[in-house]
Amino acid sequence: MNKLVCIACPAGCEMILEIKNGKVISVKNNKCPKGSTYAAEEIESPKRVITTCVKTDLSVKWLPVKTSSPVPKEKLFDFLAEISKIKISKPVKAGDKIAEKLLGFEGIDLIAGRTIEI
Amino acid sequence: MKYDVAIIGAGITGAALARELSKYELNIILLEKEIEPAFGVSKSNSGIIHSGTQNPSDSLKGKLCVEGNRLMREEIAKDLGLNFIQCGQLITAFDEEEKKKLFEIKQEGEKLGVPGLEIKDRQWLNKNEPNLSKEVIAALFSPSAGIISPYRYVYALIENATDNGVILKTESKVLAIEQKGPKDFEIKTEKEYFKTSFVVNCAGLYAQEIAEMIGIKDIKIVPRKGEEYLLDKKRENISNHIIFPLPSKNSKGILMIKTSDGNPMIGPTAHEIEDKEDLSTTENGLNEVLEGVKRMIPSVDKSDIIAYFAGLRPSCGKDFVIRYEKNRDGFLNMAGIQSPGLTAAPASAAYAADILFKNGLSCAKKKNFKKYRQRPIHLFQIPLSKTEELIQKDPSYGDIVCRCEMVSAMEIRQAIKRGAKTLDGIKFRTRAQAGRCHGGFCTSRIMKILSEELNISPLEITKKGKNSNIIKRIK
Amino acid sequence: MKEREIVIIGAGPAGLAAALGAKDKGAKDILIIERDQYLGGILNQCIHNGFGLHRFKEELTGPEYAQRYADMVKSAGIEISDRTFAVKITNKKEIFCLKPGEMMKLKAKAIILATGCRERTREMIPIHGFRPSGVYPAGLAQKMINIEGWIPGEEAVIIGSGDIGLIMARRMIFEGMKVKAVIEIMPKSRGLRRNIRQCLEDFSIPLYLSHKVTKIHGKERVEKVSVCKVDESFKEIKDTSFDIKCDTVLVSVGLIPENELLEAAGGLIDKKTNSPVCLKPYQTSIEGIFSCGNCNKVYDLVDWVSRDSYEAGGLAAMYANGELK
Repeated sequence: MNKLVCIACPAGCEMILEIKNGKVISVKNNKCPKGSTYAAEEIESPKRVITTCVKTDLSVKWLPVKTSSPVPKEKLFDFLAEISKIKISKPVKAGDKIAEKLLGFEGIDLIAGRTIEI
Repeated sequence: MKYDVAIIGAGITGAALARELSKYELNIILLEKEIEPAFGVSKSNSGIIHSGTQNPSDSLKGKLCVEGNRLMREEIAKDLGLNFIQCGQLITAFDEEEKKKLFEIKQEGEKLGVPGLEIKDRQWLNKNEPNLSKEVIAALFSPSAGIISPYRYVYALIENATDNGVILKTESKVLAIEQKGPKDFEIKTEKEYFKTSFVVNCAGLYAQEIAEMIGIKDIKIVPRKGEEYLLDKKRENISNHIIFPLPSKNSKGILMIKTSDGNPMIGPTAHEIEDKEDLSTTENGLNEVLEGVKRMIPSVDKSDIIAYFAGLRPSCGKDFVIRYEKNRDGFLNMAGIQSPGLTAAPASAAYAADILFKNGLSCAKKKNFKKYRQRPIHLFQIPLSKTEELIQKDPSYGDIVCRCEMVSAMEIRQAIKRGAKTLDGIKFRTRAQAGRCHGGFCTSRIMKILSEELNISPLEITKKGKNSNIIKRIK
Repeated sequence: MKEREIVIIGAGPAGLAAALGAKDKGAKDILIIERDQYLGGILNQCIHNGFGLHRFKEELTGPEYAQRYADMVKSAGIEISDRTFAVKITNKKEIFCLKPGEMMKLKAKAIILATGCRERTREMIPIHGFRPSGVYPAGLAQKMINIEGWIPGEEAVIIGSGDIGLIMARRMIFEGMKVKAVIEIMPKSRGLRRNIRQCLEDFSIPLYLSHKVTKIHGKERVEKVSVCKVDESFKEIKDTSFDIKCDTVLVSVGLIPENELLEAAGGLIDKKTNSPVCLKPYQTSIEGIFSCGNCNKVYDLVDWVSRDSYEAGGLAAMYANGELK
């Protein structure tokens, strides 16, 4: 029997998992289906969304960004290092893709968090 | 070049002396170890301009205090554009025994020449100090006492002194003094050497170390710590006067102090310590202060406290030591200047100048001495209608940086032009970061203005000088 | 004195939602006063995600959430006066504002206060000891890192385990700092469980529950903190004291509604919470002055701020046109 706090949303359900051979067989105490998806992923290959800032030459010095999908947890700092190399010099809109396939990972893009017009 | 006078220490005593001597045709240098003036003992002064009571009638400090008080009321506040508020003080008595003591203090004060002393009864107190404990049966009223911002007093003196030719060197800790002959000294600081005819030791807590550099061994400075707690401006009207208990053997007791910026202050404690840099506050100190002040003003509450700090009094026996060293011709000590040193400062300066003149310092008056210093503008001190006029003349008075104390970008830039180099320097001059949020909202903006005006990187900005940098790295 | 229908003070999430609420209830003339150059208030520095799951049914970062509201307010054609600082309001619903080059004097039919909150400070706890540089409210550290790109130090201790403190622990780790410990005086963290998991446990940062910092050391820059265990009445338990070396201390010990404008106008304030005393929903003790968002009460989630402030805006609009009895 394993306990796991769900991080899929602020509710933070304290789930109870049954794990066999590194696989989740059952999840209890979760209020929504996101819990069981998260639990399986967390045990088998944990992932995290990265939020950070990248430098710009614009009127707002730092652009908040996030990854479009979670990145493998053990590679968090490799992704952070990669993101820190990016610099923005053209105006952006919230939701713009400012980098694609970070570290070559399909589906992991970098998304602008706000609009900077000048 | 050889200076006529080198003053060591840019606290209140050194600043007042620099300004006093700048009235004469002299070359004067003022040396300060910290990055800005008033960063030593003076920064944690209570800001009381004492009337002169609670000093023995035959003491030097008593005489200089009464004279310093008069100078403040009659000349200095006006000449230097200071926000001096003459609110008066009360010394409270809780029983007949204590009331007798009030008469003794009154008599002693009158011998010193303290004006207007009166014993006030319960009825008067009900009317004029309504929050005072009902257990107080009488109080000695001194109408000449008042309050001032201690650091802004120092800054005003120094601005006026430098305007009259005094050279100020900060971050210039004195490392050695060598006497080459009568009225011939060489001073070595961290950065430079200076030659001078006279040296005046106004080094506060470090007066002992400075005196020892030329072999004077009888100046022993014992730091006595005082913790003070500031209350929210919302309690501005908690008292109308500065309120004292009866004095104890080595201090004036725990007080209710009004401040010229509105925040009432309670304290200070008085404990002898060893470390000259121990400015820490303690749980015991807080409890002692609260207990002491609640006896006089019961409605003070712990939750009213928004800030606190500790200061050290540089005590050296009971009285001030202002002494010309005959065997070290040219050297004057101004040591042990503890309370009422702030009040006494201009009188102490005149007294010290006189000693120097008697010992051969030239006393030719400057013809073009500039007596006045332009008062800095503080939005928190003026009505909105006046603020509106200012904004029309200068837009950046309308650019508010510190929301708790209403300080504009213009005031911060002005403070930097007048000498502020650090976050504490800005705080002392303008009150930005001194309010409820303690800079939570405005620190980064102030850092950007400092960086722009001084043309330095944010990495170089400090809270109060060397090693107190705010940030370590820029991403 | 310029007459306006509705003046909203603050363009954070509360003020923006209130403006939309007022517009939807028929207000024609709305002005938002904002200190900053940008809309969205503190959300702009909250670059982490976890916002909007209720309001937008998706997980957004603070700036993304702010941007959505800013866009809605702009496309609704609502007027905004930025870099404008309200210095005084009166019980006659006059508003005095300063902006570079100008003092604005307004009279509104209804005022909505959306001034947010401020952080409790070390002075309020109080945490004794020295007063060196390196001690920052967590929100200030957040602003330094996320808005200015300034990294405050190398090794941090965080006092208080509220969400801001937890989020900042991870944020500092991401920026290459070490986080030595989080110290919480209560036996339980006030933060969300998910934040303890993803901000502390992910990086093996120790959380000391029922502990307090008794002294901050260091005369120029922070050098270390003394920590001890506390009993149920938060008193130090003897012989449990230990020191943690660090050069940075973040203080994250709660938020206080900012209501100094209302208080100075004579509005009643609950001394304990610093919230306005409201007898009718969102209406302060001064008729026609409304209050919403964190200056009304401190919220856990911005989604609820938006929901409630939208309602408050609607009520203010109804008041202004005489529909609210």
